[in-house]
Amino acid sequence: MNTRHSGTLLIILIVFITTLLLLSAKSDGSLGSTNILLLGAQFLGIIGAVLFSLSFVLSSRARFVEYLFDGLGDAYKVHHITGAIGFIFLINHPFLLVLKAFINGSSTAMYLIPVGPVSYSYGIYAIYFLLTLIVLTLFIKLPYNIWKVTHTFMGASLFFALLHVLNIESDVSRNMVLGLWVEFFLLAGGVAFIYRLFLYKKVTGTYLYKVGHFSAVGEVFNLTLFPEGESIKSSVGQYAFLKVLNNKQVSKEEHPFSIVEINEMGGIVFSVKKIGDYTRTLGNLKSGDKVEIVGPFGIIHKKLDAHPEPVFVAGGIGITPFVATVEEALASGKKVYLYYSVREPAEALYDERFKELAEKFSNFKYKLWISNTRGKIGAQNIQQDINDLSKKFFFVCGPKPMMDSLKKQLREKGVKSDDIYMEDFTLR
Amino acid sequence: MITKVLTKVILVNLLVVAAMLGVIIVKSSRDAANASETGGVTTLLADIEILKKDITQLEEMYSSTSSPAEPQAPVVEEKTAAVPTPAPVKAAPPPPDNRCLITVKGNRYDVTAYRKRHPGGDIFKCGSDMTSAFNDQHSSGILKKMQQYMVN
Repeated sequence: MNTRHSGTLLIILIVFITTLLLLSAKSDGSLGSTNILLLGAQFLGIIGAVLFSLSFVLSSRARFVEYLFDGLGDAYKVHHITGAIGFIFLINHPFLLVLKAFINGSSTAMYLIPVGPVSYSYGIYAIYFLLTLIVLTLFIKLPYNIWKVTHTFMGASLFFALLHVLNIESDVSRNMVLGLWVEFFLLAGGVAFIYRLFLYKKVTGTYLYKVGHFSAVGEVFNLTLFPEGESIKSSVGQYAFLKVLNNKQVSKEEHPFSIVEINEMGGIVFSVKKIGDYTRTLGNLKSGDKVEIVGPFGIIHKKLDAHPEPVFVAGGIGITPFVATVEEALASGKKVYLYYSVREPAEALYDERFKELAEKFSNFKYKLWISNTRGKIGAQNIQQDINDLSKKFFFVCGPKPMMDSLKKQLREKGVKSDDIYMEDFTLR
Repeated sequence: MITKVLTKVILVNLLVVAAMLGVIIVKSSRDAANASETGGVTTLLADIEILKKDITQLEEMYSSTSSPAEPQAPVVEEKTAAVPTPAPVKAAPPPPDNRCLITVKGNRYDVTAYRKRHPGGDIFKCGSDMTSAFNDQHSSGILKKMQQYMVN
């Protein structure tokens, strides 16, 4: 079933209904007599509050969010967009009120400093929290783990926004339906915030593992973890968030990694490329280190079930989610294509394994693509083997520019965007 | 892509808001300075003094009516009569009206008690017609709620 746009459509619908409710609250004829700046401020405040609340739900990592947005990658993208638009609306909400007061010649202070009525002060606190945290997010590049702590304080902004809406004498207090509607979303944002902070690990599943094998191959190392207690149950192509607990040389951040496979001994295998600050420090891992795993996430296995002719395109370390997936697809008799692009042959992890599979399964077409000699892999290279691209389903995982460019090329070759699934790990 | 565009929009938005707020704050503080030069604050202090005198007058008025020779009951009667309509007390000059009365859409409202509870703060300019300010902030439905404060 295609759910690709259902989450986004739901948000647009919510914004639309909110606008209608605000207009109906003005249907007593006060719409015409309301000051245009006040009307604008009300619109921005109400829609902004709803979008701001929804951005909390989107980053909650709740299962239904993953389902509605076709993966957490897209959910986080929409989280950024609703958060940013919500912020633009909310920052202009008091600004229009200041402008109105200024034009009317009345005091602007009550909208700027929390000295006036408490209902206004709540709103002012909410805005100042939001302003500080958005500036930290967008314009000051803090280290990830410090930024993450600051971002948690968005909850304080949401809390004050709720108090503001509950106390303010306005259409939200006079019109019960509009009031309940807006308060519902603010509360939902609050619930999502509490879920993410206190319940998410327990509900999702948290497992304690320790480092077993650890072998480095150039820039990549393979990591096998063994369960200390209960082991994680994952489907092919899924990923989990890893956090190293007791190694002082590795920062205590959590990062998502694809589960390459779970071996016969219950060991869970990850392949990690040293591309960022964090992945480089992971090189300091030692056998016996404790690792907390939260997951699994990912919907590749669901997409795979629904499509008989999958085409996998991997770039570099982007091969990790496809190793077990390809094997499962072959085992279930699907016709499978795998394009694996690396800069040089030495970088091709699992190449031997794929070659063996290609010998064993006639329904498997495997192509290793060396980009240093052949250039970047493009849709036309895939088209040489597959006549009708529009009948296939594409799984793409690799560096962001590669994924973006391939998606564009495939779309130009007539592949529907619903038939391209990109595994994107910029989850924050 | 969209996020980058939105980040730029936010930056421009913040700069515009900051610049305009700067202008507004500078202008407001200048106005305030001018007002104090022409006696804005002094007038306010004078008003407070007048009010204080009024209160003392009223207090004196009440204490004079409750002379020790009189029995208790009539005093209460006179007090209750005196508070809402000071006019019947003929001997004393009519005391000033301490109530805060405002006019909205042709009706007068006594907001003396309500002004402290008003969610939008004590923004009342007593004795003035506040219809336009009211219209700016409220829907007309709220006028029904205000009926309890209506006087005339």
